[in-house]
Amino acid sequence: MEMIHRYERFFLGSTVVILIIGMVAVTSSFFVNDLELPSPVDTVDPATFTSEPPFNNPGLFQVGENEYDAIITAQAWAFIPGQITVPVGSTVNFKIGSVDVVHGLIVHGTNVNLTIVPGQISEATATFDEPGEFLFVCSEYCGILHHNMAGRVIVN
Amino acid sequence: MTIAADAPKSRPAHPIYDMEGMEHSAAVEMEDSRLVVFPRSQTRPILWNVILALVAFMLGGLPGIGQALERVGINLYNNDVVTSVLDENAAYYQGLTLHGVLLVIVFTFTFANGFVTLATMRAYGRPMASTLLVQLAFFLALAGTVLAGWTMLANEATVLFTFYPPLEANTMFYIGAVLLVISTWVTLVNIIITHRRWAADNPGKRTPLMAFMAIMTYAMWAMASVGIAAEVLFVILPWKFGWTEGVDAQLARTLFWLTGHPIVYFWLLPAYISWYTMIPKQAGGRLFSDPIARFVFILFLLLSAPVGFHHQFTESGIPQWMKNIHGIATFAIFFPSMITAFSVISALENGGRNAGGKGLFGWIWKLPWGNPALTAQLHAMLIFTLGGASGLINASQTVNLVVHNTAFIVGHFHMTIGAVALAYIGIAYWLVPYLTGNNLWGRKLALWQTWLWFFGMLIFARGQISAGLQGVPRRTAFADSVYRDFIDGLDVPNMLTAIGGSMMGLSGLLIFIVIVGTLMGLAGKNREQLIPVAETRVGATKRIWPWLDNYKVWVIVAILLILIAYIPFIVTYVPDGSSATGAPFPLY
Repeated sequence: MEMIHRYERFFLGSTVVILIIGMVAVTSSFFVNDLELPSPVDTVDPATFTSEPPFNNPGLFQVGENEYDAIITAQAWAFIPGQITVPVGSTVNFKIGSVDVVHGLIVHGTNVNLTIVPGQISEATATFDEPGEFLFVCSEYCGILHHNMAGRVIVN
Repeated sequence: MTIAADAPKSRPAHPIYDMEGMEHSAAVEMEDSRLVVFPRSQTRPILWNVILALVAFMLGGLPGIGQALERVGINLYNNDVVTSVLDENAAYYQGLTLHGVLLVIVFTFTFANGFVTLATMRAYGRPMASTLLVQLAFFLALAGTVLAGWTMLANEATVLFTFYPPLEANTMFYIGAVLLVISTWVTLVNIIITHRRWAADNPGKRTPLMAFMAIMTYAMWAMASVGIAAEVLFVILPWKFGWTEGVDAQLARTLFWLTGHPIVYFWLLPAYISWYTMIPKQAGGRLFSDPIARFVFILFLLLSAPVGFHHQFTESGIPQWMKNIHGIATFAIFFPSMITAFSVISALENGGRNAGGKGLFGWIWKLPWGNPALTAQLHAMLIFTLGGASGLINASQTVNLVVHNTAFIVGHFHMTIGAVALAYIGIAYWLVPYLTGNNLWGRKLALWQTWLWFFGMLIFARGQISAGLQGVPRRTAFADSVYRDFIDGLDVPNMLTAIGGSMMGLSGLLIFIVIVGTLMGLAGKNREQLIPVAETRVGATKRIWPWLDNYKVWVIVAILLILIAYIPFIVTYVPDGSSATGAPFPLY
C-alpha cells in the first residue's frame, strides 16, 4: 500500500500552496499598504523616566505642517496626556513609554497597536482624515483599574 | 509488576479485571493477547491526577461565567457569596487569574501527566519504570496548585496567568508555578526511563506509536519550558529576594513567550494522541498511516518553540526581521495540524463506512454519536478547526495589528484551548470508568454536555471576535470601564458572549454531575473497561521510515532551531542597565 495516499498528497499540497499565498499576501501588505510593526526606537531608564527627555514633558508637539508628536506617559492607571486635539488631516506620531508596569495602547480607527514594555520607547504613526473623537485604551492588564485607563484623540 | 507469562491466546472467559482477588485493577490486553495488569500504586496516582485536573477545571470555570455575564451588565462580583471568597475590589481580575492558572496550567498539566503516563504504560504493555516518580509528579503538581491557589485566593497574585513582571505577586505564586512545571519534567524522566527499559528488553523493535507520541510531547515541552524556568529563576526570583533592584521586563517577556506558545502544543498534543491512536478505534475504523503520525509529532517537536515572537508583534523591543522568522515558522506549524485533519477525518470516514455509511457524507451519520467519549472529541475537532484557522489570522503580522490584545484573541484561543478541554472531557468519559472500574453514569447528560459546550463555545467565540474587531481590549472588566458606552456595535457581541458563556457554564455543571455520579459508582461496576487503541492500515514496519524513531536526533535539531530563532535576539538585545520596579503603590 502506498505510504501517502494521493488524496492526502493533494490535500497537503493544497495546504502548502494556501500557506505560501498567505505568507506572500501578508509580506506584500507591508509594502502595498505601507504598514510597519513596532520596532526598536530607544530605551528609557524607568528610574529616571520622569526626569529625562522625552517623558519629562509629555504632551502634543507640532513638528511639521500637518504633523505632531504625541509624547505620552503610560502609568497605572492613566495616559498622560489623556486627551489630544489635532486638526483634520493631521499625522500623529505616538511616542509612548511606561513608568511602571507593562501597558498597551490601541487607538480606535487606526492601526496603532502597541505593547508598552517598561524600559522601551514605543512608537506608531496614524493619520486622522476624518473629524471625530477616537478612543484610545490600555490593552494590557495593569492592575484593578486597568479598565479605566483610556483617553481620546479629538480631530476637528 | 504482573505480566502474565503464559497468557491465553484467546480472550479469557473470566472478567479480565477480576484477578487474584483484586477488587479492581486496571489491566490491558495487548495486541499479542498478552494480559498486563497495572499496579494500583500507579493507576491510583493517575486517577488522582485526573480528579485534580477536573477539580481545577470546575473551579477555574466558575469565574468564566462571571466574566461572560459581566458583558451584559450582570455583575456577580458584588454578590455576597463571591465577595466572601474573592477580594471586593479585585474580584474580576482575581477571578480572571484563577480562570487562567487553573484552566491552562493546573487542568492541562495534571490531565496530561495522568493521561500520557497511562498511554505510555499501555503502549509498552508494562507499568512505568518508577512508581515513586508517578506519585512524585502528582504530589508536586498538588503542592504547586495549593501554593499558587492560596496566593491567588488571598489576592496576593492577581497578575493573570502570564504574570508579566514588574507586576508583582507573592513569591509562593512563582514557586507554585515552578512546582507544576517540575511535575511535567518528572513525568518526562519516567517516560524516558520506561522507554529505555523497554528498549533493552525488546532489541530491534520499533517504539510503539503511542509511546513515541508521548516521548515527543514531553520532550517538546521540556525544551520549551526552559524559557519560563529561566524567567522565574534568573529574572523574577532574584528580584523578589532583593538581589536585584528590578527586572528587565523585555527580557522576561521574551523568555515567557519562548515557553508561552509551545505550552499551547503541550495542551494540544495529548488530545492528538487520543485522536490518532484511540479515536479511530472508538469510531470503528483504523488509522491510515502510523509513520505519518510519527512525522506529525516530529514536526511539532521541531516547530512548536521557534514561534514565540508572534505573541510579541506589537512590542518595540524586537526588530522586524526577527519577527519575520517567527512569523514564517508560525505559518509552518499549521502544516502538521492539516496533516492531522486529513488523517483523523480519514480514520473517521473509515469507521463510518465500516458501519454501513454510504455516499460522500453518509458515513458521518453512521459514527457512534451516542458515545459521549467520542462525540465530545468530534465536537472538539470541529471547534479546533476554527480555532486553528483564526490563529492564522493572528499570525499574519500586519493583520495582527488589528486584533492584537483585543477580545478577538480571546475568541481565538477559547476555540483552541476550549476545544482541547472538551477533548480532555471526552477522554475522561472513558478514562475515569477505566481507572475506577465504574460504568459511566449519566450518559445522556454527558451527551447534552458536549452539545451545549459545542454550541456555547462557538456562540461565545463569535461574540468575542466581533467585540475585538470593534476595539474592545482583552482582559478587561468591560462593563466597569469608563469607555463602555463609547464603543459602537457591541450589543449583539456582548449578548453572544453572555449566552455562549452561560451555555458553557451549564455544560460544566453537567460534567460535574456526570463525573461525580461515575466516581460514586451510580451506574454499577464493569470489569471489562478497556483502553481504546486503534489498529493502523500502514503500520510502522522495519522497512518504512525507521529513521523517524531516532528521537535523540530530532531533539538536537529542535534545540538548534530554537537557537536559530532566539540567538539573534539574545546577542543583539542590549539591556541598558536599567531595571523596572513596578508602581510605587499596590496595583491590586
